[in-house]
Amino acid sequence: MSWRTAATWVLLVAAILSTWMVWRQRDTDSGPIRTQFRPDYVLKGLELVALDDQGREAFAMRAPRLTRDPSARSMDIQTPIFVIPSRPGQGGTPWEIRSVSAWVAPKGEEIRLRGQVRADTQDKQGRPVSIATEELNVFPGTKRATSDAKVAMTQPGFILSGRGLDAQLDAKRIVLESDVKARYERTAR
Amino acid sequence: RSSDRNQPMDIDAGHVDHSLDDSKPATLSGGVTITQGTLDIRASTAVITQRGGDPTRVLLTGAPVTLKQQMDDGTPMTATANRIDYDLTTEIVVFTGNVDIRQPRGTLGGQRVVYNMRTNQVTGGEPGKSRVKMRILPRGARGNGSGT
Repeated sequence: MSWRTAATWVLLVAAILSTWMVWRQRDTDSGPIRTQFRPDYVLKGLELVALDDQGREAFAMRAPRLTRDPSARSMDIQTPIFVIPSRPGQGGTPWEIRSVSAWVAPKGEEIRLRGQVRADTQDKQGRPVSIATEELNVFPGTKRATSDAKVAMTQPGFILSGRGLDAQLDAKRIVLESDVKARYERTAR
Repeated sequence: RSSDRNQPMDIDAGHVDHSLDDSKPATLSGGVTITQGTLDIRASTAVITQRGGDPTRVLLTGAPVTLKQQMDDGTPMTATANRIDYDLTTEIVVFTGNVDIRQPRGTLGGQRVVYNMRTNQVTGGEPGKSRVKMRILPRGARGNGSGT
């Protein structure tokens, strides 16, 4: 093998390696806590009501601290409590959702909650419903929530867990795509 | 066993579409396993109707659905069918489609069989529509529980 061939091989391997290094550094998750931005404002001890395009309440939120990323125009929030109301005229109990942190998209169309996420509501019969997970993506406009993490939903006498959550918050309906386990503590008499 | 009813009902599945209130039944698919005490059911899909948060009816389909349970006298019962409709409030199970029920004392086959879990009574066939085949084994031949 001549030195020219050897040099070609070395350069080829170097090119592949550097391409792979660049690919690995790509930004995989523009998740909520990105510490490298300098906020343009910081709010403390705040309550916020976000309105949709028709001026109706999309969600309410209270939190001890909020910082805003001027470039992404998104918000990062610590220990937030969100209240997602049902659609106007539909009745039904709102969802109260809390977590360690949250990221809110510029127009509030998406909320990414991360860390000890807990969503609470009541069903039509007034029984408590609770969903627990480590990640929850809420879309206030469509009243929808998704998660790829493991999810556990509890109602009195019933536990349902699995992965691949897709929930209709107002219709109070949830789909789990895999690893489904359920337990009824008792069956009807 | 009759004590099965007092045990929790555990379900394992690949997919679920569940309504948080009782307005719509929960639909499970992707291979469903239901266990409750000695009761063990395997099916492709299951539709569970609820009332007050408790399951009242389970409709199972499969190719086939398999239901196994230990009787109060300790003997095993194995049933297969294309469709099983289990009413949890009355404890009546309706098997339809290629039904085959096996116990040590014999076998029962047909297109429609009704089994009352409370009374252990089994009724089969539909007048003028489908018949049943029953084989009762002599006492000496009842051993391995396969009812063959």
